[in-house]
Amino acid sequence: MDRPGIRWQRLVSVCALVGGLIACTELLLRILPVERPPILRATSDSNPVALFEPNLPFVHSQGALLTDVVRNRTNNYGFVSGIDYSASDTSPLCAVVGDSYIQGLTVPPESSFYGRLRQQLGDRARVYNFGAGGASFPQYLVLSDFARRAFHPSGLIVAVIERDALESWEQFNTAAGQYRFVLDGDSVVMHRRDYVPGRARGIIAASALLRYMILNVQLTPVFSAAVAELRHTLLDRWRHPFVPSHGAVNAPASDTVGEALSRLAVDEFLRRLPQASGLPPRQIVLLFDAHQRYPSETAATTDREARIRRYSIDAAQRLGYGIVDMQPAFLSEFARDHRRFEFATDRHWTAYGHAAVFRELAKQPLIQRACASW
Amino acid sequence: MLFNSLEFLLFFPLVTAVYFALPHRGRISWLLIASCYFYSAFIPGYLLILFVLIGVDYTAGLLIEPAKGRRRRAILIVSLAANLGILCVFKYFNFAGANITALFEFLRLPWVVPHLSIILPIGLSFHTFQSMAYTIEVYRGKVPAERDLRTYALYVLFYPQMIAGPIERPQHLLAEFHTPRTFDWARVIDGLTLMLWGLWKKIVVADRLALYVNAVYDQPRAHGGTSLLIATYFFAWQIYCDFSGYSDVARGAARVMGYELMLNFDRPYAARSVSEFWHRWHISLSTWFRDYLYIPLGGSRVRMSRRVANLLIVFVVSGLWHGANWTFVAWGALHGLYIVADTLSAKRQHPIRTAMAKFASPRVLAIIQTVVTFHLVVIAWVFFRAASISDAFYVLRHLLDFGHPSSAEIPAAVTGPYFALSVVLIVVMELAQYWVRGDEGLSRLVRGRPFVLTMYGYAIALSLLAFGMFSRPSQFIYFQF
Repeated sequence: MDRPGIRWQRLVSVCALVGGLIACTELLLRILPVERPPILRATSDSNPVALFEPNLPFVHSQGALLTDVVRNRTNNYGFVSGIDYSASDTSPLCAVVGDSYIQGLTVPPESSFYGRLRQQLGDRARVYNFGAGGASFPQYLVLSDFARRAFHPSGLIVAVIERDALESWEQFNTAAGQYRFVLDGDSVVMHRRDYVPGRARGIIAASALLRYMILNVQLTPVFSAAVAELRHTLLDRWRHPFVPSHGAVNAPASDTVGEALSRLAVDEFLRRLPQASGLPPRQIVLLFDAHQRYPSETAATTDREARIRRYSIDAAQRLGYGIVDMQPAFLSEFARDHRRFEFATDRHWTAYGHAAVFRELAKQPLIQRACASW
Repeated sequence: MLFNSLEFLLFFPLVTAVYFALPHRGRISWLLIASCYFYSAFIPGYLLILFVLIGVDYTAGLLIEPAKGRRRRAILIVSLAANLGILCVFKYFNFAGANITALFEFLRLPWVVPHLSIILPIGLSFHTFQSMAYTIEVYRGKVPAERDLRTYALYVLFYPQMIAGPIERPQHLLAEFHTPRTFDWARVIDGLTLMLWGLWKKIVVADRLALYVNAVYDQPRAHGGTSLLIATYFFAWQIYCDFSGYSDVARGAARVMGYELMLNFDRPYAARSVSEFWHRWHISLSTWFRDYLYIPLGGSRVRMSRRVANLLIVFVVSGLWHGANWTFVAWGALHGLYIVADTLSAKRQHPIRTAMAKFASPRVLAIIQTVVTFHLVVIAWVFFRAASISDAFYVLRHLLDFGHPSSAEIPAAVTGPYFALSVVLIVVMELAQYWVRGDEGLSRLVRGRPFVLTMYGYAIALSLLAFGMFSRPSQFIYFQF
């Protein structure tokens, strides 16, 4: 049996060794391109649109292996675009609005579909992207309004991603810094939950190891899912003793309320977009990401998301919006080339995915007319 | 409850801490309660099945011990019938019914066996086999009947191994439960070290490989030879890391509390013959079949034709034990044929080896034998993993058809650099196992070396967090059996 003194000595040594190993890991990760995102500014009534701090460098990388590295900086307005925006330039402007797909963090701007469009248009017109990670319909309206006030666009492209309709509602998306729809009696109003940077942000930003675990490996949603699973297994198993408890947490629910709210969000968005952007529907293109990108993914026309997507496309067509539907395009491109359109660790389009989007977008009559006339 | 879940992360230290705080008698009751809770994470109602089995076999043990002659045998048969009956109803009824219906359809007879809408109780094959081992051993007079119902119930329900083994023997596990345990830091660290290694194999290696394997084997006809070949190799390591990972966590968890469970895997892919493979793979099951089926059938001490028949019976039954599907039967039968071929050619192998020894060193010969054995096992795994016999033959026919491109995609999480990562992880795992030579080697490596232990723990924890597949805890493959 060791004497207590020796045991303490060992414990201190082991703690020191663990500290040393963590320090070594931190140093190693500082050399590697661990994700270092741009800094999001606090939102308030004086600064209602969530923007990054302007003119700051950032590093983006994907997954545990730190692949698909993008090193860039935010522009003079706090967007990631590869160019500065000019409010005084009077050349025609195509505004591109969306969520993280348009935010410009995941692919170099020149490889994105809007970057390709910019290259095609050259000096004849400008293409500015206004993306915000986690945004949905109400935030798209706010970004369109921001673009209208600051830059007076002549055309607008809005990228609509799966779950945008449902996540437009505050009860389904509580991310701070963005606008959500809220039901106020019979009417729909837009409400912003302000983003206020916490102390944790500073700590995480300072540590490459923490950024690696949280932003690259993405352990936070894993932990949240584990907690949800735990709550389920602790509470629900005794209510249904002859039903397998494991595997039921994320079972798709036939959520009629969710579907009704999603349809309402689509209707509100399509109704308000012309006013927010200052453009008639014929000058707006809605770009719909695919529900099914590959043959093996379930076509699932019975899925709520598939139904909402179909409903959105039909409603937008009736109102005269231009439509780009990426589902048939992705399926046919994959059948030909067998290449995937997204990153290994999430569903964001890669440069190849953006190129496919650009090819499809270029077939849209509004874009063809704009390219010819501008 | 899954070992790779947050619930287990809370459950295990709590159960262990209370266990050591209690006196010996209280510990058995506590572990029994904890084990019932552990099992209830799947289908709580199915605990009733286990209670019935425990009641039947406990009573059978008490009745068999003093009984003589035909009465003794009759009680054993009742006990075995109860175990096998439950197993047949839950696991084989629908399989047998579907085949009988198909046969009647072929004979144009209008009779359909009804389909039972029941879910197979998790780990049923494991605890029925463990229960049968008890009554058989009492019948043989090798162990006394267990008087204490709680201890016997714990023998069936002991949470580390109740779902997927190792399938323990009563003379070993009951004796372990009867011996009072004291807290021993070295043993606790040994156990935790082994648990970490098992979790690493499961979460980092097996679950990553599963993405590729599932994508290909879920629709094999949409994939070309390259994908089929990679998926087939990956499955060999997926199933090994999945199942041996479970066994390591089970053995580690038991060891922390002071109990030793039997070794279930001993680097099976290092085997130099299929017979040796079965001495290294799922050892607790293969020895069960040896002791309770092969030897009672006559074993090796019979004429060759009978011995061949015995081997084939054992392996076909072993296949059927794994699952109610012809694919498992084919897998077992193929292994049976390998062993039969090995047995029949035993006398001719010696001159061949002698001749080959002139051209290659013993080390090279050993490597050749290992590679050939591994590939025989891999071919058999195709039947084990395929959804149907026709799929299995399709895969085997197209394994080397590299000109046929895939029309379906592989998940991005196992392509590009992540495919390379998968291969690197397999190599690291195999090299580590070669280096430490089993979990005893692992214990020797870290015991009394706090720095090595810390480095080991840190490396495992860091790679678990960075490369683990946590998106959703996945079940262990052998849970379905």
